[in-house]
Amino acid sequence: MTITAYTTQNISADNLAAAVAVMDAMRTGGDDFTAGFGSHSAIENAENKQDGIAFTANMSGLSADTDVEIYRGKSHGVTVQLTAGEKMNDKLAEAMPTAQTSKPTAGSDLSPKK
Amino acid sequence: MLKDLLTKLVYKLCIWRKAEDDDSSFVADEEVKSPKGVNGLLDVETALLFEDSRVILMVDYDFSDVPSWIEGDTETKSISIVQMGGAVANVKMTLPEQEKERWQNLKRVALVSGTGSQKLMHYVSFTLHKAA
Repeated sequence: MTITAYTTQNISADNLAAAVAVMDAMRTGGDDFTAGFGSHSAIENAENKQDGIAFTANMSGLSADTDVEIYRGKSHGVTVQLTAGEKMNDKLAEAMPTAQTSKPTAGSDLSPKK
Repeated sequence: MLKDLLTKLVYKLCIWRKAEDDDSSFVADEEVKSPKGVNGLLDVETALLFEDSRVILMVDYDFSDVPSWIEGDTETKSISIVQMGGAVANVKMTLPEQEKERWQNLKRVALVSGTGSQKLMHYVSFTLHKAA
């Protein structure tokens, strides 16, 4: 399965991973995916609101191996292979060196050395 | 006497109708409001994801008004999010030419929005139009 993602130059791995999580839920849920949205492995804390469904993405909840072909800004596409169960945001951040995840990863401190 | 009575009745009815007209014009003025929500360019992180017939639009933004539907323009390839209060947010990306086969037949889009780890998902209609 391959997702093609077009993004702005500035994109965080967490945001892209949240969108991939929703695509995973759509894929398995079919046309009526919103009914079982909250019970999908990539979706956590789902809550029906008056104007939509609030949720947080479970970064380790991808249900099937998925390739994500990313076109970022005007750059050529890079393909990231996501394996079911692995942390999506970390893998996406590896493929997009300047993308940020919510927590800093080891060696990502770019502040001037004293 | 009967004539006097009828004259008074007509007079009272006229005053009542005039007051009612005044009321309705006042309400009409109050209903004219500027659109709620975000108008113009939405200069935030944005992603458009395609897989088979499924499409997701992710915007790093907390909407103050409810997104109602998404519009695409076949000429300019622009994408807009129309909100319930009438405001129209223009997304900082265009419809990719490579995916034309997909977005030409697209009926609905899952809109994922929110600036933090908690997101909001709206499954909204997608309409295509041609710029006038």
